[in-house]
Amino acid sequence: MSHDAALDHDHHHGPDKGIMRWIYTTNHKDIGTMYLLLALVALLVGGSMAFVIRAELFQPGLQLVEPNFFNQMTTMHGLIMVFGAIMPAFVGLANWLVPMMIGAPDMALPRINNWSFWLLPFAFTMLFCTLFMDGGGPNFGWTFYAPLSTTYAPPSVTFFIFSVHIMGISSIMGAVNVIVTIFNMRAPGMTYMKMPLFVWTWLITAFLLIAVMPVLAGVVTMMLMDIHFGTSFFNAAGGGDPVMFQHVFWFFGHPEVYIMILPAFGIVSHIISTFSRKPLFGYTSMVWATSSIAVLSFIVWAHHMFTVGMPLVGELFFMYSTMLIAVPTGVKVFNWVTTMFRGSMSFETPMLFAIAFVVLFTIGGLSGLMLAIAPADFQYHDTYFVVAHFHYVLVPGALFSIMAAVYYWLPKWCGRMYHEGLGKLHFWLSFVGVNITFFPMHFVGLAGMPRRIPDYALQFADFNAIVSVGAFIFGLSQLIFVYNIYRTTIGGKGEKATDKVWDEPTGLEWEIPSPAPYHTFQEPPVIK
Amino acid sequence: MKKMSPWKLAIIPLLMFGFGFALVPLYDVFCDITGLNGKNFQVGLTADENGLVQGQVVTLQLLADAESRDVWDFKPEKNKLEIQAGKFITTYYEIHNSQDHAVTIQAVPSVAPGKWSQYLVKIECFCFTQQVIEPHSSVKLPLQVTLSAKAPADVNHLSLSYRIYQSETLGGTF
Repeated sequence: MSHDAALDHDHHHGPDKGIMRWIYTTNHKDIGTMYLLLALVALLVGGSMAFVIRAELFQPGLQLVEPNFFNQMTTMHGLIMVFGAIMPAFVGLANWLVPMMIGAPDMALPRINNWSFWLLPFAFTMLFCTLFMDGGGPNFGWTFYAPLSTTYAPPSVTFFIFSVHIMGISSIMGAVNVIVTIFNMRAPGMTYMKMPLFVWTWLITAFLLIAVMPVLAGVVTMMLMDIHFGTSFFNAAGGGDPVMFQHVFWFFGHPEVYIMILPAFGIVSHIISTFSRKPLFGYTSMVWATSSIAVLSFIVWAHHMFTVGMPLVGELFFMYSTMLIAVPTGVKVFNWVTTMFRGSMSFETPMLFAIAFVVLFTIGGLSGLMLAIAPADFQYHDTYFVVAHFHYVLVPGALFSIMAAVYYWLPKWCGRMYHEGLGKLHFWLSFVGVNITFFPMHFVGLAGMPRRIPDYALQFADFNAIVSVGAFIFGLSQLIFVYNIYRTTIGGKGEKATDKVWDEPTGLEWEIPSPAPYHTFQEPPVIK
Repeated sequence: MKKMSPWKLAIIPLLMFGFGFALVPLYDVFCDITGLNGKNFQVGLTADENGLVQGQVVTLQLLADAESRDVWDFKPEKNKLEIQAGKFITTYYEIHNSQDHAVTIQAVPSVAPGKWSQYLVKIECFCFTQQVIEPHSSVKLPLQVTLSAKAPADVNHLSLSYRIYQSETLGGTF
């Protein structure tokens, strides 16, 4: 066998040719690319659904779609964006970056890695196909509260349940892979407190994933049993409890919120440090803040359900524990600001997205604090204020950080610089569009406009028209992003990137050539 | 360095999947201990308090609720009763099925305030079993209640509400 090993060493060991390269691949870079492309497709599909929603809401009254189809659009938009766009994009970034950042040759479980990716296209195809089934797709909101999603659901709900099962298995396997990679495959000398922050935040995210995705699988299994096997988990006539659905769902749902934002914290920390030309301020406190946010996320779930009729003690407990999360989050925001303070800053596209992240995510965090106030939440609950809140943390929060990451690491991945002018145009259109879209939602929400409705009272007409215009600006400007990536990668335009790409960035991924070779760190690097 | 095994790690998701289901009984236990959710976990009667009228008089308010009130006519005989420990009061709810077919219903009780719910003792209740209601007919649903002798002195009012659920999915309006 030593003979074979020597042969392999001699000739170039590259990827297979054609489509089989992508089906059989166990290479973390290939799988990362596929995850990111899947997320991009999901972003465009989910975005088109948002277009349907905003077109219908452009004017009061019913113009374009039936209310039932509208409900399917809001539901599918949420599901596809959460499970199809944001989460796979972060897994894709983890695949590309975690091995390169810790000096490992690949992920620890490459075949599991291949499988966890290839489950996803099937899960999402099945979910998408429900739209064409009798009775239409899921129309009960992405939170699928029972008994709306059991007794009153369209027949396609079974396919929805199976697709959630499949994507849950995929997420759990992906998370196990990340944890094992980080625990076992760090280069010698890379202690935990020397790990880059993206690796740290992903490690914590992966633990959240393996803790709560099974609970999601459990709750959809209970739904399945209620629908088909005559149990009464959520059916009051049989002794079940619909409110319990909300408890179990949000026990998954709140940590899920942090699954979608913690990796973003890591990305932004890298980018702000590079373009401020200073080391990150407060690395240790960042690690502790991320961990505390993760721990706290398990004890705040009922702040999503203040209005179900909890006793005062419960309301107070969940109110104070929720507000407590503002402390570690505040530590992070101040650390980013302090990193920029008196730094030699420059404003390339990734940095613009990162700064917008800090500002706009903080706005989303502050409206979250308002929602955490139990007595006030009775007014805000299920209004557009909530819609504004979670879109501020997910769009200019999670999504902007993913875009920042793509602009920041794309030159390392493909060896060419993206078009800076187009990148800046994309940023400014997105930044303006996102604020026109989501800021007025605060006002209509406080004025009482409920969420998930296809029609609304006349006094909300002007703001809704503005919101729709903003949504179209934001949505269409993403085509610039798609073109810019196409131009840089497949088009092969743009100047060649240097190995460092940026001005003295820190991290092992900048020590390897650009574009990153198919196999990196076959020999572990030396950590200084 | 000791290596982490992915198989050991896989125990966490398996346990958490079980934990998701364990939450179902755990919520009941939690509600029992804290008296939340208006669930009527009764403390019951002791032998010596049977038939012995004693303690404070408490007003019991009776409420009825069913979706589609135009289909179901569901109401208590009396809206208010005075209950006292050891005094067994029999009353009834009346329900009318205005549909063209028989339906099976299940009544689910809820007692407020939740922290005192355990002191309301139901000796006989139509909510213990499912009821079949013939088409276009009225049925009197019996109920016998009393107050537990263990009720502390500050218990001054209780509300008992019933919600009617149709127990088969087929036929009729909920």
